[in-house]
Amino acid sequence: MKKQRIVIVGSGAAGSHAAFKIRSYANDANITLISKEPHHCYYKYKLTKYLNGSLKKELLFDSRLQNFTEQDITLRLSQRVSKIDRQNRSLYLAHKEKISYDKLLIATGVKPYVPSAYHSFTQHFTLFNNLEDVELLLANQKALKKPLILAGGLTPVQLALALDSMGSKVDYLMFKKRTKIVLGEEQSLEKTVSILKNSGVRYLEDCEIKGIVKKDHGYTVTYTNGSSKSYSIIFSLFGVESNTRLAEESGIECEKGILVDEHFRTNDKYIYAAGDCAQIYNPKLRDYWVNFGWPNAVVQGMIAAKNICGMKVAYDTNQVNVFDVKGERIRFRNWE
Amino acid sequence: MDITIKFSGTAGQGIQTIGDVLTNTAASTGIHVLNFRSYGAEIRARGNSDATVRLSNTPVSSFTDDIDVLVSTQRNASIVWASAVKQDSIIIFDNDPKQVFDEKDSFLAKLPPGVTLCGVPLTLFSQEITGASKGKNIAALGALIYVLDIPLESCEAEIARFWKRKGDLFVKNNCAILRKAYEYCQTEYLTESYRKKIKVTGKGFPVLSGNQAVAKGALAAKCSIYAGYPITPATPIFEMLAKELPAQKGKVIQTEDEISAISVVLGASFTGARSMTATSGPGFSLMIEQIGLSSMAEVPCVIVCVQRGGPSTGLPTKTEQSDLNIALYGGHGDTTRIILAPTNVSECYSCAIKAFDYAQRYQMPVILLSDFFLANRRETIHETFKKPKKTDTLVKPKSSTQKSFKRFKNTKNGISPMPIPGTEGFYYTTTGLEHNESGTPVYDPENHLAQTDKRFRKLKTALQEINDAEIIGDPKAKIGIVSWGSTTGAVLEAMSLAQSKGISIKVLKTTVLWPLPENSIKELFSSVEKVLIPEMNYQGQLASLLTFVEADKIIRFNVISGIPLTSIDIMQQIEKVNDVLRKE
Repeated sequence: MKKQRIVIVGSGAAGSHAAFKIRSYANDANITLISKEPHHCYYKYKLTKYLNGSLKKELLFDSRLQNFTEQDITLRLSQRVSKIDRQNRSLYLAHKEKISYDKLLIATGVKPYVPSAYHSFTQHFTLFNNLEDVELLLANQKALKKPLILAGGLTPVQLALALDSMGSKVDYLMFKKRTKIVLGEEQSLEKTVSILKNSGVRYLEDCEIKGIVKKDHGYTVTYTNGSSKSYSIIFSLFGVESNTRLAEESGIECEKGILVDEHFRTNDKYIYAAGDCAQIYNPKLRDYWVNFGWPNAVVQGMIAAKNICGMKVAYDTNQVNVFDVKGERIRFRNWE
Repeated sequence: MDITIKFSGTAGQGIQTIGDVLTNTAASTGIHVLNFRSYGAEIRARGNSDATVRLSNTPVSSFTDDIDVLVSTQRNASIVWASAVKQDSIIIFDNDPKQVFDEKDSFLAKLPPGVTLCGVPLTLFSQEITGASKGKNIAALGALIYVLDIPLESCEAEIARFWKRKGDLFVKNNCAILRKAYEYCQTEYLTESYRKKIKVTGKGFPVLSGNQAVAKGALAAKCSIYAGYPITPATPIFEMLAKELPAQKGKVIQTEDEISAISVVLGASFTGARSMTATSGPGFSLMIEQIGLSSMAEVPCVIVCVQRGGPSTGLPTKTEQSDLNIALYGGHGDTTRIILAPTNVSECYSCAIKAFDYAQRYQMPVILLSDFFLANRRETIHETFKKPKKTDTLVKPKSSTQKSFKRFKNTKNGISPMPIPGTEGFYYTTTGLEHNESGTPVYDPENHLAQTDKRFRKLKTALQEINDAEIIGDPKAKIGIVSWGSTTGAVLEAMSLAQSKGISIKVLKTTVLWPLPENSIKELFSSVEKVLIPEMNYQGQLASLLTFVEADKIIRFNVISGIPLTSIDIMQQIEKVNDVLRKE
């Protein structure tokens, strides 16, 4: 009998947990995990700790998700999926390799979000999105002396505090509207601002960027209030949005994320989506919602795995999301 | 830093060429290099082709089993290497081939988890610059030197030197492809996980192959006649001498076969000219009859046998050490001979000089046993090659001895003065028939015994004069290794590995295999509990020769994979022997 071929795109929390879970239910399945990143699953929320040296690199990786050879899971890193041929149940990698599947799980996570008003400045921005970004910063620590963080969520708070602990003179420009969407409650926002103000971070408010000019060793930023300042680096951390490119281009229904039912099925019965890229149907709300965050992605990956293996398990919609910032527990909400 | 690079593609894609260009570039920047080619026996465009280059900041003499960087110009050809790459390896491959291909043809699907992929549009870059895909090997090289952090300018300079004959446009195009791939990687692959940086010192080393070193040795020894018939893997010696021997008034003759070649050598040597032939297994078999004549007529003769996989036509482009028996015993009757086996490229040079010296001094055939690995590998040379002080070691009769001159005089050391034919007053007959001291054919038993004894006495003399055997390593070691030829490099590296793991080893190293350095061999055997003898032949030809010492101590390790033994191979055997000793 032909082995079931299950392909997972994305090796983050949802994709990797799904791969190992599928193996536990389907001994003889042929499982392939493809990722455009050169590293297998690591804790993204711990990257700031790795940056400031308080966490060793090896501890970034989940030790439970490393036995790919033992588990007979083919791990294909640094390989980008360019398109899905749904009719023939195949996908194509960017280097023109064709891989067929019986079932496909898309777990492509998120991509950085930049407000349209700032699109003209993107060439000056540095991202803090993955391990490679951190490696580059570590290789060029001089650039971290005077950073400006354009912030729209909680990750930039952690980055600001990490840089502050490294002796950087951090300016933090918060985009309150965006931050509020993430945090949901006014209380959480106040708590966040208070943490920043009590650290060495210079908190900026009531101003917008008017212009950015590249200089020899950094940038000069002009603000709408007429002031200007030099920075060694500008971080763009406005927030994230679901990475739906692959699904969208393949004709899979998407809105803010890839639309899936509570069993993580897309409108193609052979294709599933889970994690930050998925916009999940909530039968109670009778609407779709994106449920960001590491623990949610892990749960989603595991439930998607069960459904891929023929079980019928619905997603529990009562997830709680709490960020730990300098010992303070800050709640954030799921997007509707 | 110590990095092994495997270039993999199909014949005709310039795999060997980029291996050579990298080797020369790295050597010119002060990196120690070992390069080995492996290719099909067919002339072109059939089968897979691969080359291995090891780069290090310390001298290297063998390969390991691991691949640190795999450079693939053809995905199908690279499938075989996918399992050999290490978990932290970097893979350079064409990420924009012309056609879509299926997963089953992809080596990327078979790589271990954790490898770093460095995809570069190799074909596209070549096509953009030249309109053809032939330059994709150069694009791969551009990506590789980025990964290794070798200066782009050094590689461009080497390309200009390497292809000077092909003209400015060719060089310009290749440099453009190289730069394009290099700059692509600079933009795409920024983090350290895409780099395996090797330290560049700037003070360069020359690079030579074993075959080139033999030819250089022959030139330094003032060889004046080379006669040969082309055969893989010995032909490069022929080619180099054909180019360079006429400049020192020597002659190169391509004969109709190997029998003629060795006959020419004997004829030339008979007239006092230093002369040589080079061949491989099948050709060496044909030369055996004349080796007997050289021994019987006491005519100097230098034969280089570059061993390849046998028997018969065998495996022309694979390495083996399976011609020791024919070198030792080939021929009928009791034949004298000296056998030299260099262990690295530098020794190919010095042994070639010694071969001429010994052939003339002892008036007998000298067989220089090289092998495909030693002959084809190119390595950095760290010492200055010394020119020999004497280039004529023939013992000639003094003019005062004219009246009592006997060409085959039974002397104390067995060496009888040999005049150049035509020297006034020193006329003699020489023949393959048994003869008396004057050279006249005589068949009586007393004379046969006396002359045979005289001829073999020369070997005893030689043993005292030319023995270079040395025992290296921990004097208290319980495990000994006797190794010969190109395998010795892997053995010496394995000795260091063993030391780092707390296992003491001593190694008997010799370039003179015959006359056998018996005393050193007995000394080694008597001081250890086990003697490992690794050889690239099936029978254990050296091991069999040494059973006369203490056969029960010998542990044979015989491999005929056609691939050179590695230090890891030897280390595994050392560990096995060590386990046996511990249990005992």
